[in-house]
Amino acid sequence: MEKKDMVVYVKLDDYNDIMDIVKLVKERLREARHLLSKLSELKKKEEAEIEGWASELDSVEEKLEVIDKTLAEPEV
Amino acid sequence: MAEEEPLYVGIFDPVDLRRDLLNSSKVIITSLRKYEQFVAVRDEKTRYMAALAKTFREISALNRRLMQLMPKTKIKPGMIRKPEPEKEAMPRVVKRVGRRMRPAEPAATVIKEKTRLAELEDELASVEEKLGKLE
Repeated sequence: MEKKDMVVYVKLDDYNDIMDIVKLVKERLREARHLLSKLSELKKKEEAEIEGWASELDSVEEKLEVIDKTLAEPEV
Repeated sequence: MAEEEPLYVGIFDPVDLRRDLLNSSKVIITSLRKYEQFVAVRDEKTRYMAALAKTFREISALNRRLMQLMPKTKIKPGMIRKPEPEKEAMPRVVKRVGRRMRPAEPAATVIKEKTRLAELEDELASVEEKLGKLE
């Protein structure tokens, strides 16, 4: 058997600790996944807000254009 | 001397003009209201990002603990099997190992107060170096 294929033994106490830590890491990873999906949702929300502002700005610009045109061409 | 009569300019469709002005005001006020909502969303996002950073720090600490608990094996590059042909076909791994396996800088040049980012960079380099030795 080559050295690389040798079995490595872990103390039983350490093994139990390792298993507990692995469990904790899995929980934290689940938590991180959940937080990431929340962040993704919020990012989409932000983008939608910004797009909404852009369309509102267009709308105000159009109205101002009409007002400007009306004022610039007064009735004689 | 008689006072001069003020001049007036007639506005065509005054009702429409007034309506447009009011609608513009309405849109602007709506935008300001949305800004408040936007700030709330951003605050929420900041909170989630802080929570995510905390979770990542915890995962990192748990990983370090895991490494401590694992048996220490004295693996030397000579003892490691040669990479298989299909593994060599993965340029990304090879590139990363090559980039990270630069010799460490002399201790004298290391800045005493490392930033968190620099610490993480070092940690990453160390892990990648270990991974490189395993391949």
